[in-house]
Amino acid sequence: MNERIKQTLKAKEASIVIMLLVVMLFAWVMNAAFFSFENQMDVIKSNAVLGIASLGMLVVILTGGIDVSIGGQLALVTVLTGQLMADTGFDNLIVIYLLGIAIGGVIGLINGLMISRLNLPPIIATLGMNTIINGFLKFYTNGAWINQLPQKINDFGMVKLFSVPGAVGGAVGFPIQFLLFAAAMLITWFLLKWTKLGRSIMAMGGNRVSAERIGLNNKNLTTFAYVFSGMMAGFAAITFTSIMKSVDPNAFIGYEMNVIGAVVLGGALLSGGSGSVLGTFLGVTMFAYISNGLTLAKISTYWQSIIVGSIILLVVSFDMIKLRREARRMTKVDIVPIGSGR
Amino acid sequence: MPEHHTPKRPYLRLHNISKTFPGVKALSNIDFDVRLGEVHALIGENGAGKSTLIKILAGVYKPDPGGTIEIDGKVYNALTTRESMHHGIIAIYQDFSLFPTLSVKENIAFSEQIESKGWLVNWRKVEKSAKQALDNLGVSIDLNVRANMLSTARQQLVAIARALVYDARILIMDEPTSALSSSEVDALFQIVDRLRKRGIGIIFISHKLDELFRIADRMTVLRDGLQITTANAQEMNRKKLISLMVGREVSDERMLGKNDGEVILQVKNISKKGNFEDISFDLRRGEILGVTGLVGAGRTETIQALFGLNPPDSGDILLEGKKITPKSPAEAEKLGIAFVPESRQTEGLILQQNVESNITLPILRTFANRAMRIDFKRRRRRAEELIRQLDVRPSYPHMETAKLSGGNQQKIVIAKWLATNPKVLIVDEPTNGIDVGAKNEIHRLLRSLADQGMAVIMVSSELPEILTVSDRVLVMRQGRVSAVVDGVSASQELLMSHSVQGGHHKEQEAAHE
Repeated sequence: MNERIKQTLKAKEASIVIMLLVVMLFAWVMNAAFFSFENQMDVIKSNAVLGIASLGMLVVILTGGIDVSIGGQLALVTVLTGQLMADTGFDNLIVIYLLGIAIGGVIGLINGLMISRLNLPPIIATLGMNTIINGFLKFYTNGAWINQLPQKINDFGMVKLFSVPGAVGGAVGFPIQFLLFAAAMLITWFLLKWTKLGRSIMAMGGNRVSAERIGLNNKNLTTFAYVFSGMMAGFAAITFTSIMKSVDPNAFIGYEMNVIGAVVLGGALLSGGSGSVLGTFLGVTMFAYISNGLTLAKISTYWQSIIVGSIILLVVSFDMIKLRREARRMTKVDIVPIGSGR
Repeated sequence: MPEHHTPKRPYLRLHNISKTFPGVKALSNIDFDVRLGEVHALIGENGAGKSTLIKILAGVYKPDPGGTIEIDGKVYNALTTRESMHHGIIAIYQDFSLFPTLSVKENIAFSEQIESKGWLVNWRKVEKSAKQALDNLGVSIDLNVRANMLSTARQQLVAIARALVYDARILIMDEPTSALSSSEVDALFQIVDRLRKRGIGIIFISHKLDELFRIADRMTVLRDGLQITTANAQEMNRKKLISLMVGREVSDERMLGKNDGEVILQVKNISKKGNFEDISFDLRRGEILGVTGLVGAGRTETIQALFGLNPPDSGDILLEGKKITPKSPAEAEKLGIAFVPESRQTEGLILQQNVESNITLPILRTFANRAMRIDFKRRRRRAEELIRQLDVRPSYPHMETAKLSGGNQQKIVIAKWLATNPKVLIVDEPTNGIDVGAKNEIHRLLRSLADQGMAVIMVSSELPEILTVSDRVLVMRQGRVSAVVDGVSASQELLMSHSVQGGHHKEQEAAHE
C-alpha cells in the first residue's frame, strides 16, 4: 500500500496538484471571494457538465483516439430532448436521461464504426460528424432557443444536498450536479480499474501491436470507447439543460476544445494508454478554476480562450518532448564498451 | 558446453515446410524439430528465413500446402495464433510486446486474466500469478511499476515471466541479447538454463556465435530459405558455422577498379554515444569502399554521420584535407557529398511526381533565374541527359515515378544526386528489393561512376554484392570497425567472421591493417 502511495505521488497527478494550487493562489490574489463557499459551489455546478463529458473523452483518448464531435453531440442531445419536453410536456427525468444517453451512444457508435471498421483517422471522422450535427441543428432550430421546459427539469437543476438556509436568503448546500459528476467518475473509474474491458482499453492504447498479438479485438475496443464517450456526452447534456433551464443550440460551439483541454491538463497522453479518472478530475477542476479565476479578476472571456489554449499547447508540447526523449532512450542499442569481457 | 539433462523428445516437429511470397521463396522444405528441455539455436544471415520460420510457428503466416506441423502428437497443416498459443508456443519478439503503461504484474498476467471467466479483473490473482512467475525465474521486480519505467533487461524478464504464465512449452527468443550488456547476458543465460531444466524447449536466435556456443544444445543453419544443416552443438565450431552461413553463390564477375586515386575523404576517430565508436577510414577517388556488418552494427548510423543526418560527438571528418562538420543533409550536399538512402520509396523519391521533377529536384535552383522562375526547357534537357547517362527505362521524363520498376527507381535516386556532381557518393543497400538483372546494372553504374573519378561508399549486408564491386571492405560490428579488408583478398567467410562476435580472434590487428 505504501509503495502505491509513493508511486501515486511520483505520478503525474502530483504535478497537476501543484499546478492547481498555483492557479488557486492566483485566483485568490485576484479576488478574495474566490474561496467563498458560494463561489466554490458555483464552480462545481457550472463544471459538472464539462467533467462528465471529459470522462467520456478520457476513455477515447486512452485508446489513442480523439472525439471532436463532443460539442455537437451535447448540442444534439439538448436540442432533441429539449424539443420533446417543450412540445409534449414530458417530464420523466429518468426517461429523459436514458434517452439522452441513448442518442449520444448512437452517435458514438457511428463514430466508432467509422474509425474502427473504415479506418478513418479519428479526428477526420469526428470532425465530419460534428459538422453534420451542427448543420442539422441550424436547419432544425434556425438558431432559436427552446425555453418552455417542464418545471420538473428546472427544479432538478436547483436541487441542493445538505441544504441549509443561507444568510442572504435562499438555500446554501452542495449542488446535485456534484453528485452526478461523482457518479460518472465512479462508473468510469470502475470501468477502467476493475473490468477486463477497461484494462484491455488501457493495454491497447499503450501498444496496439502487442494487443493484437495477445488476441485483443482492437476494433471492438475502439468502437466501445466512442460509444462510451457518446453516452457520457448524453448524460452531460441533460444535466446542462437542467442547469440552464433552456436550450441554446449554439451553446456548445467550440466546446470540444474545453473537454479535450481538461483531459489533457489532467495528464492523459494524446498518444494513448496513459490517463486516469483522478487526473481528469484534477484537470477539470483546474480548467474550472482558471476560467473562474479569470472571471473574478475581470479579465475578458476572449483572453480566457487565449490563455486556456496556450496552457493546453504548453502541456501537450511538454508531453511530446518527454515522449520523444523516452523513445530515444528505448530504441538505441547499447554498445558494449571495450574490454568488458567477451 | 551444456551437458545433457533428462531424456528429450521432440515436442514440435516441422516436416517439409515451405513458404512462398510473391516472387520470393522464403523457406524451402524445412524439417525442423524442437525437444523439450533443449536450446535449439537458429542461425542465418539477414534474410535467411529465420523470421519467416518463427512467424509460421507463431501462427502469423500460413506455410505453403504440402508440409506438416506436428505438436505434441497433433498434426496441422497450418497453425492459427490461438492454436499456437494453446500448445504453449510463445514468441518473445525483439520489442517484447509489453504494454508500456500497465504495471509489471498486469503485463505478466494479462492474458490469463483476459481468458478467465467473468468480466472483472481479479487483482489478487494477477498479483499472485505475477509473483509466482517471477519467483520461477528467480528474479525480483517491483510488481507495481509501469513497464516503460524498466530497463531493457528487466522488460525482457517481464516478457519471459509472461510466457511462463501462458504455460510455455516452447519459447522462441528472437535476438534476446541484442540490447543487453554482457553482465545482463550472463543473467539471461542463467534464466534460459533454468527454463531448460524445467523442461521448456527454447528456440534461440542470435548472430553472436560466442553466445550460441555457450547456450545451445543443437544448431540449425538457414541460408536463403534453405536448411543447410541441423547438428549438435558439440559437433560444430566457429569456422564450420561461418562457412555454412555464408556459402552463397558469388558471381564470378568482380568489378574492381584501379584504386590509386588520391585520398579525398578522411574519417578520424569519430564517435557518437550509443551509435558508433572510434571509426576511422580513408576514401580515395575512383574507389568503391564497401561497408558491411550485421543489422545493428552501426553501419547506417556511421554513414549518416558523414551526411549530416547524425553528427558525431567527437572525431574529425576531412574532405580534400579540410575539416568539415556537416550538420544537415543540405550542408553535406553543398560540400559535395551525396547520399542515396536505403528506403528509396519513402526517403529517396516523390513517387507521385514524374521522373523529370525527381531527377532535377536537388538542382532545381540552378534552373531558376533571379525572379525565381524556372527555365523548364533547360530542366528538361538536363533530365534527358541524366536519363540517357543512367539508361533509365522507359526513358520518358514525364513518366510517373511510381510506375517504374525497382531497379529503374533506384537509378533515378542515383541520378538525382549525380545531378549535383558530388565528390563522394554514398549508397545504402542500393539493390535492396531489386531483381538480379537490375542489380547487375546498378553495380555497373556504381563502378562506372567510380571510374569517372567519384569516390563511392556502398553500404550493404549482402556479402556477394560487397565482393562484386568493393575495392576495399570495411566491416563493422557493434558500432566499431572490426576490420578493413582488401577487395581482392576478401571472401564471404572472412567478412562474416569479422561481422559476428567471437568469429575472429585477431580482430584488433586486422582493424589497424
